[in-house]
Amino acid sequence: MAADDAGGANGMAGAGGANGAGGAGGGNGIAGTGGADAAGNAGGAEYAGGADGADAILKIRGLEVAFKTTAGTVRAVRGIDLDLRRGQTFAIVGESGSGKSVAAKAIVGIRARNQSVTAGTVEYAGAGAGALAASAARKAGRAGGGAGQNACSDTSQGAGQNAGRAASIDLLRLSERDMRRNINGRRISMIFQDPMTSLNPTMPIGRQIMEPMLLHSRASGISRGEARAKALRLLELAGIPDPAGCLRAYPHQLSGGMRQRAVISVALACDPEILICDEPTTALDVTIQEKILRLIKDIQRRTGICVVYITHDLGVVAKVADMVAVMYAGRIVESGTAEEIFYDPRHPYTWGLLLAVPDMNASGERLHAIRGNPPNLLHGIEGDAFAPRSPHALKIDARRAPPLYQISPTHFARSWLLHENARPPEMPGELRARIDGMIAQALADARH
Amino acid sequence: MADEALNDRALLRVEGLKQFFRAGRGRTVKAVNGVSFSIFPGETFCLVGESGSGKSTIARSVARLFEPSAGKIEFGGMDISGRLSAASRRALRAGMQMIFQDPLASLNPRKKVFDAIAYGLVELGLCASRAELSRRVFGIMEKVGLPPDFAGRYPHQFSGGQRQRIGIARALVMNPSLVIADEAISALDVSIQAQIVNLMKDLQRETGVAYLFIAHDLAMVKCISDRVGVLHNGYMVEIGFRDEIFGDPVHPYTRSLLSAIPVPNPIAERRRIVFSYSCAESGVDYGRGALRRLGGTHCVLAEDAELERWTQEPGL
Repeated sequence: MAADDAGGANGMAGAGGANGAGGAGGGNGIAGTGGADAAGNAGGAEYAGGADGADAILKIRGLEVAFKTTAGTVRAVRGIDLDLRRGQTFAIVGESGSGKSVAAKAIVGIRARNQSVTAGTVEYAGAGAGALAASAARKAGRAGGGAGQNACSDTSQGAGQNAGRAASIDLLRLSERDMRRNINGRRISMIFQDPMTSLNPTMPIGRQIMEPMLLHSRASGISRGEARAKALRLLELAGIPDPAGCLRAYPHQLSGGMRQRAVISVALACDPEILICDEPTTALDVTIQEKILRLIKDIQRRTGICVVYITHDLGVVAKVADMVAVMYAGRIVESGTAEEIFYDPRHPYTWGLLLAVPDMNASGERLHAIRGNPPNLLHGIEGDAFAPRSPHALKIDARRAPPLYQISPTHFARSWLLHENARPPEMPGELRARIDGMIAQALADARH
Repeated sequence: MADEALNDRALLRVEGLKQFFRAGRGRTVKAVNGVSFSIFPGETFCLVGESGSGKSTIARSVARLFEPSAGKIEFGGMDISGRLSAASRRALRAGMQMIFQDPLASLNPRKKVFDAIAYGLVELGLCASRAELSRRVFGIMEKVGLPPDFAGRYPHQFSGGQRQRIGIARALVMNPSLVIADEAISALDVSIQAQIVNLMKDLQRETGVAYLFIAHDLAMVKCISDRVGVLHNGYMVEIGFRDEIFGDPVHPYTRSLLSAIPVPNPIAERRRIVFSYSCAESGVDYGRGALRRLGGTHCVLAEDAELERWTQEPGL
């Protein structure tokens, strides 16, 4: 998700070497600068998948979102960087108020009236990005000033030729109308926690699935009959036992699990490239949750879409995610592959979260709570936002926000504990024991 | 559970509880269909099951927010299943308290925290003087970890975890012998959940209160419960001590529930096999089964042939 400016050399060195450079990299540990591109060309291939985000379908850089309230400005998202890739499942974990939902909604342009994106870019490089970039450039040209303002510099040519690197467009600069017409529902879909609030109670399920297809029919040229046939196929794909009956049914006639399947069908109606699931199973029971998660995984395998989960349930994350980002107080404090986050966590907040989950192998003893409450983002945060709750806090935490340190090509964490001058951080012994137990169990299972 | 001696000590005894609702057009919803269990002083009894299994309905019938359709409920040796006399209603309201899932919805937004906590004491006239009232309210606030200056604030000024602390203070200020916690921690964040569960355990140790805990997070249930009852479609399909249920589940519904608990272990999660179960597919008719004891306090709702089949299946 971010490339070290030192590029290839550090990539080779792996965990140890990258750490040292990370100390210096306070300012430029984050990709998206010219240097990152150069690193990519100069043999940054060790970054499996290209850590400079070259092949990312959605590249988020420095996204900041704020709310104006009567009490002042709440900085809900304080600069996040993310790369989403095709066929990948990304999980954003965090507690309520960590900014995970706000960030996701900002990406698809769902904004409250008092909310504004104060900084950052969200570059979309999936299907249709070229055409969008070209039309944006045309519009800008007509307006007379700042040609190419909307599009990335390399895309204004790439769009026409459809050659070389894929074109990309900054979604944050698109008008609400362009977002609605070309992105929402068509390229990026979102499903929410409560299926009843996303379904229209006065409309049969079938019409609700066909609606986005017909709205976008000018581009796709789909007919009513075709849309109907596709709706039927989608319901079948979503594992609904009687698709034809469901097409005619109203939301209140379906059970909670069936409703969420219907919502998934609506979300997939226009073959999106990215599916964002905001707490998709929180309202469902474990057995139905299991079925819905398996369904989404199945659809992903068949269609190759990128799925983003927003959740606070670490069990769900472990089940579905390839990549995990842990958010706290509007920032990503740790990110990496699921194995890195669950078996080798480095940030004290991640330790706390993992410890707070009740251990299925031990029972009866006290739970490990994280003391205190999350910070109020209305007040400016000085230093490390988690420091007041962290038993591992250092003196510097109170004064300066920690930079992003690289632990492996895919693993990053934002904590002063990883500075080369800090004592090597020790995760709590109990967590160490629990993780060792989990690894042993996983290995034993694998042998069977 | 049939031991007479044991039952004499029970704080709450529910026998053959049925709770039906008329659903219009002559249809009846049998939300709870003949459920029996007991809760003993100072223990935590958890009810688990999917939504619609009847667990919240049982909680509300026991608290007498509903009129039970059939069956017997005894609380502290007093029959509370029929029409309540003024005296038994009073005893019930003081001795049994509820904590709800959404603390904001259960707190009056126009009442200050002090008044919200004091309401029950004032209403039942349990405090002789204003001074005693303040002493008890501030005492319980300190116990649940709320600073005294919070007493003059309104519910909307608090975070979710603090609101749930207010909900707990409001329940425990009455010195109840039974607290019904209906999904009391489901709406809280993981780190706050742990704080609240620890608090509830500490208070139990201190005051000897019993909890009827309703939850769908089975990992949490395993951590806090003494005994567990598994509900499905209005029937208690399996009941027993925690280790009996989690260590040796017999009923296929219990097994399917336990096999679906996600754990924070990616490799194990990706290989997980979940048992699926439905009454229709496996041909189980709860109406024909009877609660059979497997040994100890472990009971399963089954017919003879079913029980034989299930007990021979390999463990999870």
